[in-house]
Amino acid sequence: MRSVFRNAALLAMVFAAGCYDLSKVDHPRITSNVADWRDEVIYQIIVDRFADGDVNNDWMVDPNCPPNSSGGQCALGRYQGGDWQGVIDHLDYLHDLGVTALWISPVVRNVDTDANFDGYHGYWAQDLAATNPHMGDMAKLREMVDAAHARGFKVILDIVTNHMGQLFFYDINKNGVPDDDVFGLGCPAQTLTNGGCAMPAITHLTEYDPDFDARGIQAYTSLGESGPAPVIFLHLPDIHREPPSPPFDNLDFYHKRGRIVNYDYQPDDRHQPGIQTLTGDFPGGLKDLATESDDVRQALIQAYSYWIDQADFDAFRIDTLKHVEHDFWKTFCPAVRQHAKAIGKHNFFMFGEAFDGDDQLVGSYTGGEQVDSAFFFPQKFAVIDRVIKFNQAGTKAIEDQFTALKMDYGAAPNSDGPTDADGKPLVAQQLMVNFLDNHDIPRFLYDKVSEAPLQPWAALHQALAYEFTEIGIPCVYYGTEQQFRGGNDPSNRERLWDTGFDETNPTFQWIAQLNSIRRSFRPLRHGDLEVKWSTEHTGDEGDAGIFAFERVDGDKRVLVVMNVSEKHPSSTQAADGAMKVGFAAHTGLVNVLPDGDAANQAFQVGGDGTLVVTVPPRGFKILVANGDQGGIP
Amino acid sequence: MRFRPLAPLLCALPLLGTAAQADSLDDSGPPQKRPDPVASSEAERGEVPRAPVAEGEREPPGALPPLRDSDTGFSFGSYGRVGAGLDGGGHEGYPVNVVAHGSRLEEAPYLELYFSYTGRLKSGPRWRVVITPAFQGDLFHYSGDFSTQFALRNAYVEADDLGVDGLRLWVGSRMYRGDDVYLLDWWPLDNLNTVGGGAGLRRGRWDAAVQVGLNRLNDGFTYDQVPVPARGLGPPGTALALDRPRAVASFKLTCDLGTPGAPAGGKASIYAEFHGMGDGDRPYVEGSGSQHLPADYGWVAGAQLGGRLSPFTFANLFLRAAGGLAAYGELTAPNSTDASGRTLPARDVQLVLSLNWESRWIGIMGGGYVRQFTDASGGQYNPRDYVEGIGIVRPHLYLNRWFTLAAELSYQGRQYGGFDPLLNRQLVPQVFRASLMPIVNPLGPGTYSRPQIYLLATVSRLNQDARDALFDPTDIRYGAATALYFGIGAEWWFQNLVSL
Repeated sequence: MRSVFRNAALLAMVFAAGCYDLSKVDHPRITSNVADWRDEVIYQIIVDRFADGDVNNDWMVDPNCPPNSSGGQCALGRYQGGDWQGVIDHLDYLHDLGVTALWISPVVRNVDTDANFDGYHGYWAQDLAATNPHMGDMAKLREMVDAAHARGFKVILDIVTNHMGQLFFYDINKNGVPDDDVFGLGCPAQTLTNGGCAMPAITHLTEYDPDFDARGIQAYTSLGESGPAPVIFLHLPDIHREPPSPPFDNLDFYHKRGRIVNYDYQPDDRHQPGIQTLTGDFPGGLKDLATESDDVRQALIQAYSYWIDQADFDAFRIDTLKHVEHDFWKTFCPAVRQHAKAIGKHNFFMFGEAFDGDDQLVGSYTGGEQVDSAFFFPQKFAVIDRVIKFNQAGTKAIEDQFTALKMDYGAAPNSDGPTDADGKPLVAQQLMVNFLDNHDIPRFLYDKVSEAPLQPWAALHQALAYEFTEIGIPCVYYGTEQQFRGGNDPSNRERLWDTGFDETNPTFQWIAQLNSIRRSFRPLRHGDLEVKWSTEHTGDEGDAGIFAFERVDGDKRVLVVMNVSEKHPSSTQAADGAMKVGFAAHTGLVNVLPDGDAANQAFQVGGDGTLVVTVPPRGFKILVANGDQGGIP
Repeated sequence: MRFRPLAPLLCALPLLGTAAQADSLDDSGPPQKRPDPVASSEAERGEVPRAPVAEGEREPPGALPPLRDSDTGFSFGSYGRVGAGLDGGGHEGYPVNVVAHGSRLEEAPYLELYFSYTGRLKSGPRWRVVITPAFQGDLFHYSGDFSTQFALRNAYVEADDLGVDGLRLWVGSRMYRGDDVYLLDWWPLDNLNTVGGGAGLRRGRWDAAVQVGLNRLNDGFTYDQVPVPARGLGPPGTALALDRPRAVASFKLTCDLGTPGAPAGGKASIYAEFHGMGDGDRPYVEGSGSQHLPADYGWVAGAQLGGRLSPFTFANLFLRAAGGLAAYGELTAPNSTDASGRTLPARDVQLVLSLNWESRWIGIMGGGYVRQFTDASGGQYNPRDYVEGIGIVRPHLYLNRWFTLAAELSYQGRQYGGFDPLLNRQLVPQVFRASLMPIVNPLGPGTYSRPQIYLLATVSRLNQDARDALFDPTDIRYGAATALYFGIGAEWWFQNLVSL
């Protein structure tokens, strides 16, 4: 009966007010939400895997993995049902975790499915101006961003400028339809050169994703080649596999050269990507945009500026940096910054992904009016995995990585780029995005076996502590806090809701604790980094596994000491002496990161400025001067 | 056997009376026939053959006499409409409506045939068998396609005067409905299509009726099968995986407010429905998983107040609220649920007016409603939520005994509660319509006089949101802010009786 009265009241309101008021989401208020990006901790969300907040957009959801089932049998290559409402519903969880910036997977409408894999991840764009209906609509997206902002979160949009989804096929045999298999007298991929076939041969390929040909994909029959293959958009509206909206329906916007089969670097510069990387279709038939074209550049600037206008995003995470030429970034990034500034969005941040271990290559995209920062992939390979996770190299490699950071990454600020709270420009060397794993690589725990009696996650906790205390911006891949251990894509894209959003997980609590410490001690966010101890030793030596550094902010500093060895305690001393620190002589230090090592919680700097800290296997200490335990604001 | 001159056979609606023919399978579909006089007091009505009316005489809507003992025998009747037209560009004419219940003028052809046999043994109970086949779809002479869609809309047996005066029982498949809004082809309060049974009791001014029925839609929400391996040497078979019919019960209580025999009067009704279905597991098309569908329920509560000043001058006001399954209608599977898989949060609230006014030279039909639909899935900005309304009026000028000039004017609009998923903005489609209808009524003038044949010219003005809501941009109709319709049409209803 109450509902009857409620409906009657509702009806009365309809008569009185008459309408649905969508003004709150119709014209989003653009706000500047970031004082200093170094204060942020990024949390990467694959929306489809985070939380299913609306069962009504769950069409195509993996039939082996319905919403309320265990995720063990999930076909993770298919949609799982997560959406933007799910993010709204679990902001408390993220708040408790302590992260501050939400990097959400791409929001644009995707090709729904291809070869029985779904576009749940968002990297198969079909329409750069439409929302992905599996996630919600524009109002829901704005509602999510607004709700996040209201809780103090920043929201980072994942964008792709390199390619669109698999929207067209190359009609190699000119029969007018896409063929999975084309046989005939053609060129085997291995013999293709920029000049064409090295020798005729029987080949076998697909018209959706043929191998790279620098001339453009060629048509051929059993009699030989017959010129450029017609390129034809697919028309499958039921799965959103259809021509994109203008101007991206112009085939001149695409390179049309086929799939990258060789990731070689440029012949004259080993640190820059080669022609196939730059102009080939991304594996999977993702059609490469001709980003050297002014028209394409302007279209992309307009397409992605639109999303700042529409949903008040605070930053872009940019996909596949190294697949796009530098000149593009020098055009795109300034234009986006200027647009953001023009609409009142200050401190707009752009960081990109160059999936490569080469510091010179990754660093070449930072600064110089390009992106403001990049994922620290070289660190991931050289430090996180090689040193911390597997102890395959001494901690001297960590120091070398910081040397490379100073040498190879942007040291000059971008115009209208990120600043600190006082408006002082920040540079890429201060803003690198540190991570342990992400959606493109196996999770940290996937192949990590710890020495007994260490807990399996001891190395993970140590790597996280390092990530949260080194220079740069930490980025946590969703599910890390629940100790997910999936292997390569798609196994590393598990459903978070299967955990019940458990906040008692030791890693959840560890991250929350690290966030609390990072928030409390400003040097851990803003300070310069000075290496105090590193070693080549990886065996039984007394300092094997020790790495120590200080974060220095004015007259305040924090000392971080870790031992990556899983075999024995190590100390910050060697035959030639003990560790010299920046603290004044006789300064008393205390560990603010509870580590269960009761015997080694308090220290005193020696009269000669040295300090010996002994750290248990996989131990990690954050030392501050006595009196600063309550925090350094 | 002798034929009765079925006179005027029910020229005016009253005859088939409140007869109910529903051609509509959902709330936006085509409906049917005739008005519904305020004074008709049967809760389930219309299928009863009425006494013949003298040639040229119009039966007052509210004054149908009860069946007499002699009203036995075979009866045949029909409701139908046929029309065709072009738009201004030489394309097929098309209806322009942006609300669930818009103007009926350009509706697709539809036909019902009504067969019944009524018998009575002396002073014993009277019984009747009613069968109503119905057809819809393109006409063969229009499409060249020798096919049409067929449905059996009525197939039931009813008996009354079963030892208790005024007691009636029925069982079968039946259109079960009350009064309509003719111009919108819509029964706003009670309009059930049920396979079940019911009972009614009329005492004095009061009439009470209950009905209980089942339906089991082949929609995947209600019923599903999965293929299974062959058993023995037979072919592969199927296994029943989901089967949860919906039970629908209704109750209606009507009080005749008029003085017997008086031209003026009225009636008041209250109405309620309950819908319920059990739980089940819906198998996925692929894979081995299934989705659990919990038990779900729905309800309707409503009321009607009607009054008439004279036999053909009346007004009906309806207020109806529905929740859960019932908000989507009994023949429609819900298109959304809450997080638990139920529809309980869904709401549909309607306020509806229907009226008719007749004089010697002029007749005016009118109607309108406002409605708020709230989707089960919730959310502050839900694109499935909407408010809508329409106001419509059709004045008739009786030029002489057979020729009438009518016009129809209407405004309709809908406001969605969220953004259009393709356009990323809120749509508020609105349509103004104006139609001119020269009509020929062989049985004489009257807003409800049928059969009628007519010419039809309609101008519809659509705002941009209406075009966006109705058509894809590639549709040849998308660009037309003004839609025209020039056509011809015919509509009829009648019923006769052949006594034994």
